Amino acid sequence: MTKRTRYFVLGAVAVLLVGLGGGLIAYLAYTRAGGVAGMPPEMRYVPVDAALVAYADVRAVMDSDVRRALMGSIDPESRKGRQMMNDFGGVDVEKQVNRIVAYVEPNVAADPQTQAKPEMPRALVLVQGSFEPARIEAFVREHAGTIEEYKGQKILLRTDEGHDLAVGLIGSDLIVLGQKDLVRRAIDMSEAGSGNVKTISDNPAMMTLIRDNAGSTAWAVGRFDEISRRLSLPSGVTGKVPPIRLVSAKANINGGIRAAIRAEAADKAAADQLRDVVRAFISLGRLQGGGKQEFDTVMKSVELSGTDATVRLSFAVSPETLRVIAPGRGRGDRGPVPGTPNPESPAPPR
Amino acid sequence: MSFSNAVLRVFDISLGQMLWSRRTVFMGLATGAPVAIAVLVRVLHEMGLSSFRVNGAPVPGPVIFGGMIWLLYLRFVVPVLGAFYGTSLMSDEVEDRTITYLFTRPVPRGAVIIGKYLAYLACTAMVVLPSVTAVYLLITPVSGGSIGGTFPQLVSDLGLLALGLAVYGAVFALVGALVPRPLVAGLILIFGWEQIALVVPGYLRRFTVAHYLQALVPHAMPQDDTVAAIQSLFADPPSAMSSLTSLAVISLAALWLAARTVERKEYVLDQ
Repeated sequence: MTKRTRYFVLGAVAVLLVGLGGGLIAYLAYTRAGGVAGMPPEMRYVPVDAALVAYADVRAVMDSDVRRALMGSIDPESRKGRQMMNDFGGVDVEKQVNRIVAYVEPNVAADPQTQAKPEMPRALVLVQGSFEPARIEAFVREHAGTIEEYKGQKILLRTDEGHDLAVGLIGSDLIVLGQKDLVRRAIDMSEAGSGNVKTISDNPAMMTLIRDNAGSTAWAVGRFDEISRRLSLPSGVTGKVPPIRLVSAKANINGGIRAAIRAEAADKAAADQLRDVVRAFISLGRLQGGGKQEFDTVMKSVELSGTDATVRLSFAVSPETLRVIAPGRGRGDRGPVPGTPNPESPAPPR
Repeated sequence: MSFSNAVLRVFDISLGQMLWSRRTVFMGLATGAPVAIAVLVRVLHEMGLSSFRVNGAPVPGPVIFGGMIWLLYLRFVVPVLGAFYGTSLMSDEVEDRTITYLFTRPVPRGAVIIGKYLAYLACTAMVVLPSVTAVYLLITPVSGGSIGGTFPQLVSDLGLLALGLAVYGAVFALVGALVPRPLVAGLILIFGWEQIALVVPGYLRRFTVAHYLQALVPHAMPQDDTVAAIQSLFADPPSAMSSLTSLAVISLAALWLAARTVERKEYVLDQ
């Protein structure tokens, strides 16, 4: 081997090693921080048997072009969700929250048929951001809440519409919201680490779908039976849907929204059947949306794919379409929002 | 000289020859172009401009990287490098009339092609894999992508591309040992047979390398053209284990046949 060849070999190997070494360090840091590669660190609080897991990169949504584009057309009333959060925890979602992870535990009701109304789901919401514990504490006291200590951490309790809700503060950057025992469990895990406790990373079926969503701005993965029960889908509908085990939805939000829905059917036959059903709905949607340019654009971006027991449906929504379908646009008592095109008026010449 | 020593000796000589041949310019262009594209995408991103958008939404870096692995490396760079180098392993010696010098040495004839094949593999892997790594590091962090979160995919991609180079190289080494004008045959095999067989419904795709390689790709297949759409329509990808087994069988069988052909074939040099 000549000197020149040896230098080339060493150079190539060096580039490869630097890339792989750097990637490995990043991967290890990511895994150590989050417990699950490609996932937010809060995922280590999600139990192995969670029926539904959801994530939202709030910072990315707040900084997105979509939000900037929509802010002008959204009615202030539709910011109710943000206000509710603010009312409860004294937290400004817009400024203080980075990301949210939430999970719902599986339903353990003895007989769902005998329930007059569905129970409040046993769920925990983990809000990561930069908070002021003293301000939150003061807020809860002002709103007739109580404070108790658990393992040196403060748990703020408040009864809201007959349901007891607890807010735990883990450090200064994580708020956990939910039933008291779930909040306590999160505090236990924050102190002892997940250790021998099985987390969602030990659930291979769910993790396959969760990993598939890594890098998305927002996603949710859950058991279809649990989701259909929570959504109270009529038995006529659930009876006609082919057997589905897991469902996942993800969205990448910035200039527009690129979303994908993935369903894991019980077997290949069920997946084929589901694809047929979805294909029929797509055709129906194309017929219904005929003539409306904004819907035509969305329908053109719809792609149905998948192999074996997997069914995937993806689509993209442009900022223009979002502005048209945004809340407040379709109300008759309001005129068109300034700065947005009026669908009633003729299109300007191009 | 034992077979393994002969293989190592031929490998040592051939590696230098391959690296500094005229083909290296083509290889440099083929693997340098994706890096140039990645640099451009990254520069645009750093300047606040999103280079790839779908309905106005910027495409995340890992998705762009996955698309580049499919469209540039898997469908073009790997098969074409395999064809260019694999077919030339024996034919260059015949065309340059230097095969006599190899065959008059006290080394088994089969060791010549195996040694050259290993040199091809080392030579192409040393250019393609660093190129992929550079593209990954440049592209992945774009639009919210994470290097740490997608690192396992890079490892899969590198293994997959190395496997692709190995299998295509073995197949084209056999073509080079059998056919008088092997490069033309190799290009027909890549851009003719493989493309047609992949979109034809039925079992024909099982006789292509791409069918097994594509089943191992960790990224979703981009729906870039009609052919890809048709391909996905009829897609029935084999399992990872079955793909790996098939690719190993194809490589070993092709190499064995190539070595056997070189052992038995009488090469007549043009006067």
